[in-house]
Amino acid sequence: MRYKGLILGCCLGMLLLLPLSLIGQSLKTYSGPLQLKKYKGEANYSYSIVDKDTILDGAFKFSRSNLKALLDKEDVSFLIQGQFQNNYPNGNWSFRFNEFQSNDNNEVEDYRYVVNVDGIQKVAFGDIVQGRPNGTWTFKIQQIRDSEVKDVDFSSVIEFENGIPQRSFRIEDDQQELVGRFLRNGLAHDKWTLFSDRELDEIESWNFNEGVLQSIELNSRSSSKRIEVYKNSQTQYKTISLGEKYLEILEFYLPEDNLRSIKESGVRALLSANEAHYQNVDSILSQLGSSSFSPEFKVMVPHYPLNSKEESLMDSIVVYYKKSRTISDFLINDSQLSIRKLSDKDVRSLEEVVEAISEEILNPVGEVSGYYENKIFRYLDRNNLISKLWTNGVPQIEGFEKYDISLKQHITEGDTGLQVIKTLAEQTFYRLDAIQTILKNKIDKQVKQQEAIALEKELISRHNYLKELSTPNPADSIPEMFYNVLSQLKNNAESKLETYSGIKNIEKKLNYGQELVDCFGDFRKVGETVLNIPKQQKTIQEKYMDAVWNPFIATVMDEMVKKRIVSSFDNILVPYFLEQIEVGLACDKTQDWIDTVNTTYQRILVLRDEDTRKMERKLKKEKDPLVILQRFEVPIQTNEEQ
Amino acid sequence: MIEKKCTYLFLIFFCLFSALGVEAQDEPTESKFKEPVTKLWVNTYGNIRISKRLFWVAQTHFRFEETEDTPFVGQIGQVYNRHAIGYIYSKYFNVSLGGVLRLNFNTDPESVDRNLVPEWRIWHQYMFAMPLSSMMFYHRIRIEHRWTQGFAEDSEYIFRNRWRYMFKAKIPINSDKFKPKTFYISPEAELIMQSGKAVVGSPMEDLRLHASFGYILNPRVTLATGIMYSQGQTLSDGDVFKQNWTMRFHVYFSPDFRKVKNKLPAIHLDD
Repeated sequence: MRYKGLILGCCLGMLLLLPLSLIGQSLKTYSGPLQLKKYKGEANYSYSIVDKDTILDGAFKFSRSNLKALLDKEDVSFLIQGQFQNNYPNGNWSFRFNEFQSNDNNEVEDYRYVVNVDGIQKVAFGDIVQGRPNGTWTFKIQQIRDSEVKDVDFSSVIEFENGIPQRSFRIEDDQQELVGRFLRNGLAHDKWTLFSDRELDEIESWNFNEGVLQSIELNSRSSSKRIEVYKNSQTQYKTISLGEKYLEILEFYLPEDNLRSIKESGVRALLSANEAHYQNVDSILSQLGSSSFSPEFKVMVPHYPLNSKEESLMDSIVVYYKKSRTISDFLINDSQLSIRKLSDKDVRSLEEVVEAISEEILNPVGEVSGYYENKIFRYLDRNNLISKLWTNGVPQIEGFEKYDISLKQHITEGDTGLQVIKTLAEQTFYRLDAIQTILKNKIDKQVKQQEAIALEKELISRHNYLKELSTPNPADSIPEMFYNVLSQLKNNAESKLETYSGIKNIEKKLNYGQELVDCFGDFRKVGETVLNIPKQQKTIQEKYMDAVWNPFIATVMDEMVKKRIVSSFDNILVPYFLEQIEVGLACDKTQDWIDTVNTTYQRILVLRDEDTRKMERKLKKEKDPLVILQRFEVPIQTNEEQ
Repeated sequence: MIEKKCTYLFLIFFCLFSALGVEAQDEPTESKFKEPVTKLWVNTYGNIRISKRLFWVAQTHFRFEETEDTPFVGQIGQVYNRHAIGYIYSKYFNVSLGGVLRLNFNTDPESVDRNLVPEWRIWHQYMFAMPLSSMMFYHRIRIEHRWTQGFAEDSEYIFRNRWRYMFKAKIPINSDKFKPKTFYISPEAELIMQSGKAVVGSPMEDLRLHASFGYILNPRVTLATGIMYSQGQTLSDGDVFKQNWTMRFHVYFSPDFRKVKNKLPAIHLDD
């Protein structure tokens, strides 16, 4: 009985364990190469496949080190270790990135070599819950000498609770140290102080009140300065992250003379550096699974919501700005214009106008457009917009009449800041567009003139070839009539050249010139075909010769067979072909002409071996070249001219 | 060049003449030369190709003789039908063998005998051609076995052999070679000897000296005309020489009715 209970218990226990072992079976492990962004190394992790997605679960290790590289020169190694749970980083994580060089202080201890290294080590470690930092997170950049930490270049220690920074934090680099604290909801609070290693007192402090930056104090040995920030308690506030966008909002808010202080602020530099390190870790983690690893420092800024009219104005400004910027970039950077302005006063003055417009109008408008596109425009006080952008007032666009531009919009007294910017952006665009048209025309004209010169050069060379072709060559036995026809062809080309030179409109001239280049090329082919006809005639004569044995003379005699075909070619078709050139062959008929001549020739060669008795009968007394071509079954392409 | 050759030809003929003159001095003190008779010959020469090597020789000659009223074309003398099969050995040599039927008309106006008698022959011929520069020279040996009879009602056939040798030149005038539309001149000399029981003291039947002027219409048709002087011993009396002046008209034709595809490879024979 005792055993019965034990067996039952065992069975029950096994049944309970079964589902667990089933889950365990679906978990797979991977061990092999992996690349995450710029990191390439060996990885070991476990995962399961759910709906074709890889879900990381369990321990994760990703590392790389190369001893040979270290001994040769330098090894860039890293080690990333942690755990995942259902694809979220969860649990203790540590990151280590090294750039080490081996040095000469080596030792042999027992049975191993100890190689000492110099270099930089970056480490980060802490706990993660559901992809968010939790507990204390530490980031460090250490200088290593002889395998020992010599200096700390950067250190950041922040406490989190489910991703929200808590209590106090400390960020330091080799020269200064920032200390501050948060409320439980992560809002910056109280005094954030920056100490310098070289000064006794604090050198900078940012005073927050529940996330709202009240003032900044800057101290140096000789002076101290206090910049008041958000004091107006009537304004509506909104919570945002303390990041680059916040700093940009601050820059816009602060008066011009305090801008430098915020741009060169040590607090800002340390916060930015810290954010960059968190982002680096986040970029690795979010590649692997789901994570949201960032410091999430919260601050509050005044909020000025945009109404629909303002939004549409901003949309127009962005569009006009982008178009204008494209034009001005083109006009300023175009190499042809850059060369042209050296010699052309008009071009130079227009280029100067474009540069001035770019500097005085486009850059400020671009700033506004950038604020809007970066989604920080709603945190900016638009009452100060115009005076912020143009301390000396809105620049006026003048000289529109000169370019025949009528402006749809004019800036009037009662316009809001956005209205003014929009009108200005629009005017600027039209102005630049007009300038572009003028400059482009100038370039086009120059380019076309150059084209015309090149074209004419080609025309002359092609005409010269025709001239050469039509000069009888005493060395060949081509009858003069063929050369006479070529002279006609050359004259035809010359009269076309005259027409060309008579055209005033450069556009039409170029078009006609291009046509002529092609046409003269075709004439050349026609000319070569003409000079080839005597050769074709000779070949036909030879082909149509038959050797006949004359027993009375005891001689083999050549006799022409199918004489009607040969004589039709020699006496009717060849004169017909030549006549077509003499009456002035049109450019677009040249190819047809060449085809007809060559097809006829080929056809006659073929006819020699065909039964042509019927055809020869029909050729008797036939004097019409077109009918003869038809009898020869040569497609007639030029009949519409007849 | 041509002139020089003509001079040589003349010299050869002159020597022949002299030799004959010496021979004739034997029994009688001198030969008698009859008055020349004028004649007109219209000869057609057919050479019809029947295969690569064989051709059919078909010749018809119409020979007219003077009458008292009409010189040359007075009356019909003979109608000649000569046929043979020829064998082309090469471009420059061929042989022929065939028969002749000659119809002899009685041209003696006072005769009371038959008006027309046939004469039969078997003949064979060996023709050599020799190109020289642009000219052509020919040697023709023709042997005829002939059976003739007189016009008398009951005359018997007599058998004789004829031994003929002809030397002939053709010289193109308006061209450097023989081709259609070429004119040529052709001097020719033929000696015809005979033998047989009936031949007593008159072996030289005929010596023909002929100069003609021809025109090659096309490779298949040639026309020629010329004048021929001939003389020879009469059969009955070797002392008596007959003489003739003959106007001759020649038509040469050489059709080839073979299909083109058979004709092509055979044209050049083996040159």
